[in-house]
Amino acid sequence: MINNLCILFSLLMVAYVVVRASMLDARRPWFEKAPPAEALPDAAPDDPRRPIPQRH
Amino acid sequence: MRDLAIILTYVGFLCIGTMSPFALALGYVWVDLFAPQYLGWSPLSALPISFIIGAAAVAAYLLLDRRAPPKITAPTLLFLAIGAWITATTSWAAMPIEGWGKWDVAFKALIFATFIPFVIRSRVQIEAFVHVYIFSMAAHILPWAVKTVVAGGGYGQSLGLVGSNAIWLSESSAVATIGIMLVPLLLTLRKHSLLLPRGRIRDLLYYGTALGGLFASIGTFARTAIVGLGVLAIAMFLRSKRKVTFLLTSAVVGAALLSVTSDKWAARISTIEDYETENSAKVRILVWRWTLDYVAQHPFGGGFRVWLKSHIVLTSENPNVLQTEQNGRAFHNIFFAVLGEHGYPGLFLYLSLIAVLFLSLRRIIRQTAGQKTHEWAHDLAKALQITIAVLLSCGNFIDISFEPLVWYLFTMVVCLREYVRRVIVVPVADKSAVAMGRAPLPDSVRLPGRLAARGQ
Repeated sequence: MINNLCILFSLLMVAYVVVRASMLDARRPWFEKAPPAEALPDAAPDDPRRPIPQRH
Repeated sequence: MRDLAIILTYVGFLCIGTMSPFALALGYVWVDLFAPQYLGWSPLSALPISFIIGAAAVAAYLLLDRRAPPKITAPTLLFLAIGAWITATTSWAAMPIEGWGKWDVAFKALIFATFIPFVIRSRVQIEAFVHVYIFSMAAHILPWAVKTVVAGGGYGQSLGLVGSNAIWLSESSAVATIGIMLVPLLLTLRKHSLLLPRGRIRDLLYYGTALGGLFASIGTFARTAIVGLGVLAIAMFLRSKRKVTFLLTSAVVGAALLSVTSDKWAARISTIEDYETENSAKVRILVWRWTLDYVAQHPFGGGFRVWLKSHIVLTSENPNVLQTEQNGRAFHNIFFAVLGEHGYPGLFLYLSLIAVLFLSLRRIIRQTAGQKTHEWAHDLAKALQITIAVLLSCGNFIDISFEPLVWYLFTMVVCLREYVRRVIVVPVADKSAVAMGRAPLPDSVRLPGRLAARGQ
């Protein structure tokens, strides 16, 4: 009983985190709107999603 | 039911991985640290589940996700050098059959850890990696915690998911080590996580799991736990900004931990002072002496599992007790294990890697100091310092030198270092000072406009 509850807790946490991370990090629109380009600061220099630095 | 949940999780990783390739890499980490194939009968135990998800992760990266590769730095080169060296030492292993078996596990974890920085790049991905790392192993730790609170734990008992010593995750000293080393990471995630919504439930989850780790470590009756708890307390006290609050909280947690201990626990722990006559400690010291003698004759090491050839003689000060001879006693120490198995070059590479990782963390801390935008990376680097310090301290009493938890923890540092390198825009004039870790940069020069505000 205790073992199964601990396994269930572990699996639920892992599953939630991976699904949530996939949604936040979506490379294309999935079942949630894709994050704006600003959310990808580490995109490669030639990646079209990379934000253009603003001049102020 | 348990099998169904595990199978669904595994299949879930594969499905999500088709849309988010980094999930496949997390799936491989999950398989290594959760060990689903040991948790009862299921079709998974008949399949090469590690190979399938590992191959899928590499293929998905090559076909779908090959962008912004990490810079090849000293840790990556050391990972590869260690991989090459352990292959060489295994080729002349004193126990070749057992040695190649251990090499198979160690080499795969090491190579996959080298690959992880290619796919774990953004803040969200790094956080997901840390979460999967923690909560995969939590399944093996929390049963110890609950049973300790209910029944008080015990030495040599099997309170985990699998039988005592069946796998490295079920060894009592390993449980104690993991339970303690995860605490700093959990406290950092509670403060900064983007993945779990803020609120009391989130606090409860992180605090509860951290407390569970501490109870589990006490419940093992392992003396390793006392060493780990000592290092954790000192390191967190030194890092704490509110030291009085920290001391008060520590006193409450300490009292709670002591409330579940018994006279048997106290008797077991008190033997730590009696290492010269206590049998278990004495055996370890004799094995370490044997290791030094062995590498004096074999400076390049004897390959994995060379401890099976160890031979020690146990003597007693009591003239009525006969001396006994023992063979095949394990190292119970990561440094002596690396020395005995991979010789002086192996130990040099291993210690160099640890030193380079600590320098990387120090550089991250300095570069992100005082930056609201990068506070999460700053705090995570500090937590990783403490976690690795606890791991190495506890590692003086258990050989987990080539277990997956070590390599995934080490590669977490590489991922964070690469993230900081990518997102911090350094003006040419300040580059040398920042590279030396001497000067943090003002927020305004780090990220353009809204990027800095979002803290992504």
